[in-house]
Amino acid sequence: MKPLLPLACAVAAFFIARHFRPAGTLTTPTPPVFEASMSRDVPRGLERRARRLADLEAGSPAALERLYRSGNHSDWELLAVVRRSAESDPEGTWQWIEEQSLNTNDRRLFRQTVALAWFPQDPVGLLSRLNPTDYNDWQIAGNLIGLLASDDPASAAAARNHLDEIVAAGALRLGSSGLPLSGEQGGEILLALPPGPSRDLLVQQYAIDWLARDASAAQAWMANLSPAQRNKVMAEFSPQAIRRQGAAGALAASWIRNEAPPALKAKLGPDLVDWMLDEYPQAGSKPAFSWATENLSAAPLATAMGKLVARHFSSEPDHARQMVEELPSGNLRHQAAMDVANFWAASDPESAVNWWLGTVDPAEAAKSGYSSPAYQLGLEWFGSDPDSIRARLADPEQPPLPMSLATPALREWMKAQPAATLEWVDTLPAERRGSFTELALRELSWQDPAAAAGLFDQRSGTAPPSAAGSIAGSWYRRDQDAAIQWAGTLPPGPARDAALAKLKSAADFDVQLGATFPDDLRKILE
Amino acid sequence: MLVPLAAWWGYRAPIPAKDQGEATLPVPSPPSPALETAANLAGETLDSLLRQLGEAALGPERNDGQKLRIRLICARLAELDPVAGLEWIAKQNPDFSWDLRHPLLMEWALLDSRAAWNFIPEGPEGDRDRQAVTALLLHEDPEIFMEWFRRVRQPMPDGSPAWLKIAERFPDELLTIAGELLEQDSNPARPRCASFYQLLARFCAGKDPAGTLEWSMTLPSSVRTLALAGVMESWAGTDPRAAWQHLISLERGPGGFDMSRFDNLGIGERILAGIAREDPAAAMKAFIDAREKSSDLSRSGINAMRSVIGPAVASGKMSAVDAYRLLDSAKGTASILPLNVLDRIWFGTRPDLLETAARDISAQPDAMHRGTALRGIMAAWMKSDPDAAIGFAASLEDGRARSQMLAGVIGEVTGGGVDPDRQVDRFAMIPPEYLAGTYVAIATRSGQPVAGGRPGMFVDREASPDRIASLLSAAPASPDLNRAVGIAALKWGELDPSAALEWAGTLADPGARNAAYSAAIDGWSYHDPMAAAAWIGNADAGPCRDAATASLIRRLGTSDPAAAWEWTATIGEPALQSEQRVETLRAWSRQSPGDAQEAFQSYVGSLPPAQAAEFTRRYTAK
Repeated sequence: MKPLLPLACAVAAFFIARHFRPAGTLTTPTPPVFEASMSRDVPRGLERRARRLADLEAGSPAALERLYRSGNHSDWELLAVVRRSAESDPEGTWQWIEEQSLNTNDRRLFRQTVALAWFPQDPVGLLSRLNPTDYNDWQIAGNLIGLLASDDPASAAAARNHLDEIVAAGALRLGSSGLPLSGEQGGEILLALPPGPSRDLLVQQYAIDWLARDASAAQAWMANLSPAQRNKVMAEFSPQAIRRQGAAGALAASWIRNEAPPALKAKLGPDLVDWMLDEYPQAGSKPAFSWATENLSAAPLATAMGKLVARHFSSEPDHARQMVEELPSGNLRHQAAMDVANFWAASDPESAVNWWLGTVDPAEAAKSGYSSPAYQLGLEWFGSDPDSIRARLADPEQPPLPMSLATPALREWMKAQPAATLEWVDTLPAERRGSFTELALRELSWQDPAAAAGLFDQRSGTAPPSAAGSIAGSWYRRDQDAAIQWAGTLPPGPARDAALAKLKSAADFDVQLGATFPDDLRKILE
Repeated sequence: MLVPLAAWWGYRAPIPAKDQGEATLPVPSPPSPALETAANLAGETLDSLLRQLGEAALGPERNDGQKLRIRLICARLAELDPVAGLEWIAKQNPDFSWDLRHPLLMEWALLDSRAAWNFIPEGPEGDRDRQAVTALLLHEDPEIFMEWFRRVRQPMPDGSPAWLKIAERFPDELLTIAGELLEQDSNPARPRCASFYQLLARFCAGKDPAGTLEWSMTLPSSVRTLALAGVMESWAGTDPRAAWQHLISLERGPGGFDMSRFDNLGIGERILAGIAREDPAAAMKAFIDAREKSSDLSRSGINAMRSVIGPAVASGKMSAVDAYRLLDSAKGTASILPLNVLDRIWFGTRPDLLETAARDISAQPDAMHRGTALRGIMAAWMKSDPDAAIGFAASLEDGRARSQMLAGVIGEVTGGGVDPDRQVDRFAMIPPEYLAGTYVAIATRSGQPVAGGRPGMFVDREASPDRIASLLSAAPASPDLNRAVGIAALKWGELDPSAALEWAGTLADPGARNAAYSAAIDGWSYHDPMAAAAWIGNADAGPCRDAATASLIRRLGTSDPAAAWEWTATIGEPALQSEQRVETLRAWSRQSPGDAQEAFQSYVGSLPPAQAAEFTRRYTAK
């Protein structure tokens, strides 16, 4: 027993001494205190790393679940486990991913990893899980297309055998980017695929992408395609390419001019006009103008003419305006007037609007809605000079503007300062006040119907009764009960009638969709 | 002697000195590449390790084995001489920071946090190193991670389990840091540190959801929504029904939360999907109840039901007709659900189940969403067996159901996206007697196409109007055909009026021919009435010219009623002429009553008394 005593003392000394060990060995301590250290009871250094990496050698959905929940591994570390798990149980791994609240990137990466492991084992199983309306699954389908060039003969054969399903799953929705192929070598692989619509689509997409990168090389390779396929490629390629300068744009321009079918030539004609104006600035607008009038009619001519006069306006504004004024009535003139006015409004919105109002038919100026010309001009005016539109709206000497034109400005002011805007509306000339009050309250009612109703109540003598209808209508969409209750509190008169009529119309519409007419509203209407 | 030696050994600093010698590792069983590689590396010298690191790292592409070796060498270098390792890496290639420098610094930090921190120089590059190492430490050791994180304050939390561990260990400190960051944030409206509150709420809600909800409501508004989202995320996993009730109550409570934020964050979807997995009908009811009270959670409802109902039908757990009935039960504003779900849940369903689904649903009364369901089934079926799908649809005796289902032929999603030519190919597979009706159903889905307006689907995307025109030319005469050629000619007339009018002239059926002329001129005259008028001026007299003239007159009526009035005289067919005169005078009188009255008087003065009386009666009739 005697030799054991010093040994026991030594062991005790070892452990006691450990408690007095310094936190670190630095000679120049920094202000922050580093106190944390890993327990010596757990492996450290190489051993720790080896054990943690060995954990990642597992490969099953259950292991994946355990490792993920541990929080001990980064997502890119877990990717290897996902791959291994997918090799042994792809469906279970896929299902595990579906059930997790992963962030978008991890989810995409994990699913792609499983898909590539699953496909060689059970192509039908994987393809049946891909959703052709899901962007992320298009990427997976694109990855599967890439297997056509795989070194693994089994994967490549599976991709060839299931080409139709892969393409149908959206493989080309994102272009041919899934293909690790380029140039003639890639083209040869694709041309060797079994004939059919999927091969045609793939070849076309490959050619389109190649044309965008290297127009002349791709064009030479396209000699391998049938005339119908070449046409199809150019029909798909040209709408984007014609908006670019350089070789791609020139190729598209030439095709549109000389080879495009009539309907496509008409559709792309306005873009060709734009391209010509950009490509040959020294020639002015004459060549483009001649081409447009000789080759286009109806809607395409109207669009092209708008582009031409708007460009012309920048150098010769008087002549451009005169050109518009001399155009025959109809959308041909309206479109051109709109394009010029929009361009002009950036520098002098009031003059632009005055000219536009005098140039287009009254029915065109009165059009309403977000996409109406008046609304767009109002937006431009408000954007370039909000003070001047405010002054113009308040000036009793000036003729009134179409409501669509005033709407964007009023909408923005109401968003920022509803009370101040309503005060300003109260100062407008009497004949404008009513419609602007209604518009302002209607705008507010979309954001805060209760507040709009309160402001209406405060102005019950001056606000137009129809405003009550607007408020009730938008409130009903957010809170039926509150809207009905408010309408019921309005005193008998046109405002109450307007509110109830609007509520009845909204409820009737809902009934058409299968809803029940609200009892409270029925009682009030009775 | 033994006791002092043992005491020194125990006191000794944990970082092994250079040439520490062989580390002992357990022999792996079964063999593990990581443990085996580590066992081999344990005996290597510094020089040998650096040589091996170069071999593994400097190659053109790293395989899994090389990546594993690199990580283990970094761990061993941290034990032996991290400074030498880092200097070697810097000499080889400064770009190796991500995969060599940062892992080595991280391994060093795990052994001696302060030494690793102090080694990194001050300045922007050092800041980047510290941020990267901190991010790596997140998964390694909560204590050491927090030492770095207190100073670096990066990365921002997310919902990963590693962050939940940190939240569990340091809830108060994270809250303090979040508060400090909130004060300093340059975007007070949407501060980046809101994710701290989301994390903490998520963590705390796992233990006390109601209490955490209360706490979240006391937070500043800029971070409150994300904190509430954290609570709901957690609650969705344990009691989705309770979570939904509380979510909805947020909108109706004081302050009225904007539900669209929760909709965009996918919170509502997660909760509803949780309910739907247990009981789809309960999820529907929850959504409908909320919708009636105006909750803006439409995306949540649509995505949740798509993700649950689709797989349930595909796997046979739920019959298609039950799914249809359930979704169709959403009425009023909740009908947004069937409208957006019934067309998208069929893609994974087997063809035999699709046929059953189509048979059962087409036998249902023609409710609002039957068409959506049949169209969706058709689109999915076209993918696997278009002939069978079209054959089945064409065999349906209910004409309305037949049109609804056939309209799905162009809904098939193809590899190239919406391919107009492929759509026309599919459309051409429809038996000729049903072509016109199907075309009308497709083209009017988004409303009646008008000149200058947005056309319906298919019409807009169709790149070759001549192909559609040629198919319609072969269809038998019917009221549907007249409508179909009218829509086709209108849009073609806007694009290429000469071609459209040429086609109109080839139509065999007189009614269809008139409809096509009228529509083509309508499309043309919207843009360029002068050119359209010139064409009519050169056209041969007859019913087609009259139909075209009537279109021009209607168009001119709003912009130039005087010219329109003159054109009425050129219509040969008396009844049509009289009708157009009445319409033009009415339009004119709205713009210029005096001129209209003068024209009226002049015209009736030129008529025999009986005709004048009849015209006056028609004009003045309401």
